[in-house]
Amino acid sequence: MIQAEELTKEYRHLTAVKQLSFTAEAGRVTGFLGPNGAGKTTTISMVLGLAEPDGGQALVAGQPYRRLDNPATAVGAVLDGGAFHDGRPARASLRASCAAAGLPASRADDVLGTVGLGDAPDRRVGKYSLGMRQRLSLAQALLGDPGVLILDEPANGLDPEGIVWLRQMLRRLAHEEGKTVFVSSHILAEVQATVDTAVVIAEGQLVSEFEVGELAGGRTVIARAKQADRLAEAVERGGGKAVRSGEELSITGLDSDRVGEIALEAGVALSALGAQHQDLEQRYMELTAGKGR
Amino acid sequence: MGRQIAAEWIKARSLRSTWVLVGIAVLGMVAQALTGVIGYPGESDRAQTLAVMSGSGLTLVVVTIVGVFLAASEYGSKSIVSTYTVTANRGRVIIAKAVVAVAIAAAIGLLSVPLARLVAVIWFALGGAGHWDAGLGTAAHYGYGTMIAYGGFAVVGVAIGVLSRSIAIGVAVAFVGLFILDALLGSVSFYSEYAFTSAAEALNNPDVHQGGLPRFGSAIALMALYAGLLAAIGVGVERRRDV
Repeated sequence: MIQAEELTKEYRHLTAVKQLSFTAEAGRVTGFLGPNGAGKTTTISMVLGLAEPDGGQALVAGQPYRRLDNPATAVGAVLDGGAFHDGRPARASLRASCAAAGLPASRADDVLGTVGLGDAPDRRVGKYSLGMRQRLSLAQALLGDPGVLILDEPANGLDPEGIVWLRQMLRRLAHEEGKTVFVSSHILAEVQATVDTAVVIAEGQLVSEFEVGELAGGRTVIARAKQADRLAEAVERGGGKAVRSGEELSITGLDSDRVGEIALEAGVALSALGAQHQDLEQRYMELTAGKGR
Repeated sequence: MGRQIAAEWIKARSLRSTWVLVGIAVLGMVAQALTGVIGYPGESDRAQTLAVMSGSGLTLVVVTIVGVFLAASEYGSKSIVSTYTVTANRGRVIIAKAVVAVAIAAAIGLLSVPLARLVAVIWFALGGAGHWDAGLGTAAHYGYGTMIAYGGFAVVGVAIGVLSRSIAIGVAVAFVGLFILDALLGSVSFYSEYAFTSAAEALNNPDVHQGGLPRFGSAIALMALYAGLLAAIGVGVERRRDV
């Protein structure tokens, strides 16, 4: 599990992250979303002990990262499109991490095979394509078979086949092996297909935390009526939520059949009634509108 | 700690640049030995032999660069992120880098005397002037003096690499700081016995007693003090910095 509690990071003229709190649960894929400059990478850096918070704390498996006994066996991280020296062979890069974590050197070959790089282990990382570097990063993250995986834009550079492979692997690791998977990404369609919970931040602050599965069943009902005010009041009394724009109401919390019944009971004539699916992209755009830095 | 040292050794040996630098360092020692045999016609055999065996200034520069390189290249490539996510204790990582740098530098230093002897043998076999005039004790003295000098400079290189986080800046700082500023300060009479480069010179030429240089034992202590102090500063600063 990852817990961020009132995390704050300030630079000279900028508060990059401000009192950010969220939880990424074990057995679930948690998406970490936000516009450019929202503070995602800074937050991940603080979670991984690479940056010191100015306030609050981040706990991984119940402890601050720097206090973990052998971090590689607790947390695997994919950051920055692969943090490897271009001149070093991939296998040697992983073997160095194996040595530091007290893992057998053969583990490097195991994970290279897992990510599909088993046929190019001694090629220098500089000769790898972006997609291969991403796979190598994932191999590095999997070395210690950690319970927590933190991935910053892991789909960058992957081809469509690689993206499907990544999605399936992340979901398997979370749902079948019970790992905590925390992934930041800009590819919202991919996030929707992969994650269970979304944590959305903007300007360094939490904007929303919600279940992505609810979006699939979640609809917005659009109703049009000359007496929109009266209909809005009736909808609110009926347990829904209505946002008015002229004669049009966007209603959530009720389905279109129930909205039709409420309109009839209230004696409001409808000129239009329909349902609109809400997807992650739409929700994200609503939440972060005008909040990019 | 052993795990981190093993990891740093794998990193060092898996890069071509490490071996290129080691090669240049060895060439520096060969050049020093050649200068010794060729540059002392008419001097005593003893003076010639000691000149051949003395540690190389060029190699001191190169082992410093090896240290800078082992530390700073991690920041340029961002592989430091992988290093610190696997080993969160930054002090251990830096000490492990210093240990590996010392091991490489000491191994180069260990070659110094045998290489000097080989160059001398070839020189004399080709009819060059002079005669080898050093016993095993003197040779050993030169051997470990050179190893300590190279090791100390390698640790300072690691510390400078950590503090600068850039190979180019690290090399520039090392060169200006150690080989210009410290050498200039070494020419000031009251400081000359305490200069880092004076300590290296005393270790590289332990049996050549020059005025203004510390004695052999003092040179070892000075070398350890300066290298340890800079390494401690590097660890202290790095622990507080963001990556």
